[in-house]
Amino acid sequence: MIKQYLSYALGAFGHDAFYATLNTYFAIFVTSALFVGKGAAAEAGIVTTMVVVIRLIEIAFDPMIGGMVDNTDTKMGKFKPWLLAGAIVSSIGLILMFSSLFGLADSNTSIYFLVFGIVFVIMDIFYSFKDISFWSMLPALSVDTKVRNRFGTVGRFGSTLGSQGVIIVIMPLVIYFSQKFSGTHGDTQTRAGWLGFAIVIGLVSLLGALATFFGTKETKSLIRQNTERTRFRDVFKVIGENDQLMWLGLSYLLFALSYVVTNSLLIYYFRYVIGNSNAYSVIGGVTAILGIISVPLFPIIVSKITRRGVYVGGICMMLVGYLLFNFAGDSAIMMYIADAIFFFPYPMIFLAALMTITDSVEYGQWKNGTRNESVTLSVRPLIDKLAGAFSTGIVVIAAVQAGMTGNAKPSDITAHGMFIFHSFIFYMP
Amino acid sequence: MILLVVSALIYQFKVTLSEKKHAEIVKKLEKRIKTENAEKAADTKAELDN
Repeated sequence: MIKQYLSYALGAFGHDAFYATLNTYFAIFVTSALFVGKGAAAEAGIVTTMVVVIRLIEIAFDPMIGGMVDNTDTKMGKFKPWLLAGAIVSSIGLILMFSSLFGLADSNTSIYFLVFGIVFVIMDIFYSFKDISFWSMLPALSVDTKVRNRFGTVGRFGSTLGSQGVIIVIMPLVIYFSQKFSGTHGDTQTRAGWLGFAIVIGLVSLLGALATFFGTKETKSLIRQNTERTRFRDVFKVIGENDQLMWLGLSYLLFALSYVVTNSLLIYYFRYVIGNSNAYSVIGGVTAILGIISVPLFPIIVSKITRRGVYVGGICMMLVGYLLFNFAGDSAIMMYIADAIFFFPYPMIFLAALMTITDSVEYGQWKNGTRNESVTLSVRPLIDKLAGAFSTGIVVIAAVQAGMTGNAKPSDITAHGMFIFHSFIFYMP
Repeated sequence: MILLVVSALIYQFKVTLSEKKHAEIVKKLEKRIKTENAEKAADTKAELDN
């Protein structure tokens, strides 16, 4: 079993290193290395807008991707072919994204945008296949809740290390490859440097997927053989008729939205309320360390107080964090303490929700007669993506309404603006 | 704080799929599938006998 846990954790490590690169650092590459000089802002704007729009459209396809995985039946099982194909194609896509597409970005930007759009759509689809096949293996690895808890926990631990690891290695890698490939000195970053970084991350993602591919084993139980093909038009019915999945989904959507909105607005708090945006960087360190402590505690705590205890109790702890936020005023230290209390239960609540979704596979099978592992598990990434998209909009509205834009100073924010900001960052979430 | 409270209330009162309930469902499912398989086997046998 240890081998299986380790291979699953390695898969998650590579997967989230990849995701962090895509989600956070691609935009930095586009604005700081790909497009520089005349008209750069507009060109970078087109690329980032394409990314946002394509990803929004993709959300609707997640359950159908789950349906395709569920309908797959090969000697390797149903997840592994998709996991491997997803890893290979998405890694190649990532490497192409971090390049000038054979010089097109300089020679012909219109064709660059067109080719980039095609590359990104293909990359995003295969990334989603990888994402859904990887996480929907959970109900197939065991039907025992305790074993599922352990797989979920090691997976989440791997993802935490993967996404935090990228933050640590990104700049040293970009600078190392800039020196190696472009012969620069010091801290200069070149396109070739970014490309080298993307190749490393693409390889880490592929090697992690290979570890999961060879190291894990789908169980063959009586329950798991009881499946039928799911037609595409039925995937939303499968989700809709599973009332436990729907209630959990609604609860988790509100939870995720709450967390993401507050989390994204914290940087505005440091800049426009405290007036010290540098102090914000400590938050990243606090959450990285607490995440690494919090995740492994999940199986121990959940065996004592149950999933519901973790979920509801964890939210109570986050509410204490919110109360402290309200009293923080312009003290950065108070914000760190409040954020620590606010963040600590977050990974455990995530795992409690993930485990409830995993167990709702058998609930749906019992209630509706068919077993749908990937369609059911696709609900979680779908909700996380929805919450992310909503929160981006909410953050913009909050900042504009509160007058927290450009070079505004804390003294420029009116009492009314402050009330609006507090409503968006604390009261509403 | 509002969304979070609503989220907790929904989980507390509407999500009834606990670990215990899941273990019961797995047992019931196994039993049901076994019976179904036995019935299918009996049907096939009856057809063959005819």
